[in-house]
Amino acid sequence: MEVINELRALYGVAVKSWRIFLSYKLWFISDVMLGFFFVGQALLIGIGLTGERNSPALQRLTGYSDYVTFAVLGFMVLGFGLTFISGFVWSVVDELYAGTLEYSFAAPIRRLTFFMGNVLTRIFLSLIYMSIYVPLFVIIFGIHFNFLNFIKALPVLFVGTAGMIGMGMVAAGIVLYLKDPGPFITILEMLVFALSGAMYPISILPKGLQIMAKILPYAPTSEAVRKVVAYGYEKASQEISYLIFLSLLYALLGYLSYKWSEKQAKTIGLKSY
Amino acid sequence: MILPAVIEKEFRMFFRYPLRVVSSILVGLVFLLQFVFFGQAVLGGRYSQLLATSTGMGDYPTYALIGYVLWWVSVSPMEAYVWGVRRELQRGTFEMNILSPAKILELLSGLAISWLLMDSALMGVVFAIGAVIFDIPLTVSVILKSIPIILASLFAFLGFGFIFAGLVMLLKNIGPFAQIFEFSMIFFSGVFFPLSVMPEWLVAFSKTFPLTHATSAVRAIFVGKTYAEIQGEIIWLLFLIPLYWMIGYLIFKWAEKITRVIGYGGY
Repeated sequence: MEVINELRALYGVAVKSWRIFLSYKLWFISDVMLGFFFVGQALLIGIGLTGERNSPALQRLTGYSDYVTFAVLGFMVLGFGLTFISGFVWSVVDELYAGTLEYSFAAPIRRLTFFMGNVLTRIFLSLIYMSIYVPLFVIIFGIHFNFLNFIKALPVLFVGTAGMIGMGMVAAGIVLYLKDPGPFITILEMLVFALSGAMYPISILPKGLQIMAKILPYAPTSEAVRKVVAYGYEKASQEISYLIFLSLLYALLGYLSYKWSEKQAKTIGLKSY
Repeated sequence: MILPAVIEKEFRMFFRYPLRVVSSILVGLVFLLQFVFFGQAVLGGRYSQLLATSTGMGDYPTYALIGYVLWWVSVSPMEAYVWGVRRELQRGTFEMNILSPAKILELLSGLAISWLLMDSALMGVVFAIGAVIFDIPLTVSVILKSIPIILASLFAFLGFGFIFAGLVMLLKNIGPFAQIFEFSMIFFSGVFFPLSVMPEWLVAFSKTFPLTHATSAVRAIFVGKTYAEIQGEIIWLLFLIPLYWMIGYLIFKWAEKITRVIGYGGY
């Protein structure tokens, strides 16, 4: 019975989040166009600088000569990955700003259900975006990758997902303690964005940033997915092993830090709100 | 003294949370780095002969940095009208301000000027950090020569953004529309790539945006051209300043007349 109640609550939170999103439909169009903006930029920058569709320099660095395909895969992993961190932290912040967080937290549901309901909506949206992007990118930008390998790479993406959820939970824990969490989240998202290796191989970053990129779950996920799509599982075993280790670590860290911060919140309250 | 008061209020609100300033600079830097690093990874270096042939500037980080900083500042007044006015509408303070003895035009101009100044300062920091990261050679003479062009561009950007002041009062939520438009400007004005890759009709259309001429003129100064050599771009800029101010003013007056009857965009 308790499980059914929790599932109903999860559904309720997801529906609420979906309705809020749908109340401004133009945001949906704007979000979809953002994907075209990034990929279109990638194509035009490449053509404007080299006059060619393939880049020997990028091939030497990553194994991908088609820079648009490279950017599309990175963009999709990043978009999917940001779903979790954004789902966790913005669900807290939006309600904090609206003054409804205490009411939501006082409801007889688990806190995790509240977060997962919001994340669920974003995953659903992310899947809608992908179902729009993949066929249109193939038609408009002529990207070419083996679809079977793309499907095969999904388990790798799910492995990375565990780490991304863990990181989202760490961030949600921190957000509860900040007076004005908006800028903190923006900084976090920008760091993830810069270090995700979505648009460029992280090997061209300065050494310090390369290390930072390696210890966050995003760039290792992008690298593993790209390698599986291009070369298959056998040649990507090193990247996959590292990703499994990192994801387990983040999942554990996320769970422990969130539990701790929740316990603290029960004692000292939500910071300044 | 309404204008300085509005500017002071906006500055106080923005700098009240220093983390907000840091996050704004970081957002500015990250977007820049994404595209410059991507360009360098594709090029295998920083110099593009093709870019040099089509624009006169072959160093990609310099090309992108100038375009990007000017783009950010150019959309600033637009953002001020869209988000600044919306913020006041949501807080319920917009009507109070309208009822005050200040002219609405003064209030909105103060909003746009303050956001433009704040973004110019932020982008100055981003430009300086970008110049250090990408080792861009700067001389005092190039900077001094660029200032008049940048000032003229700021006037043009203010007029261009003014078009949105009227729209935001009429329509409830034009944030997504403004976002689409802002990103389109990157394509239309050759911020990250040369306009030569676009169809001819689009290149002709891009001439109607002040940003196209601002970026082109400042880049030309950076490669050592004189004012005489870029007089075409300067004439375009000087022509667009009164044109956009006039269009913006007419749209605003029309929107103001309508909102007096139907109210402010459903708030």
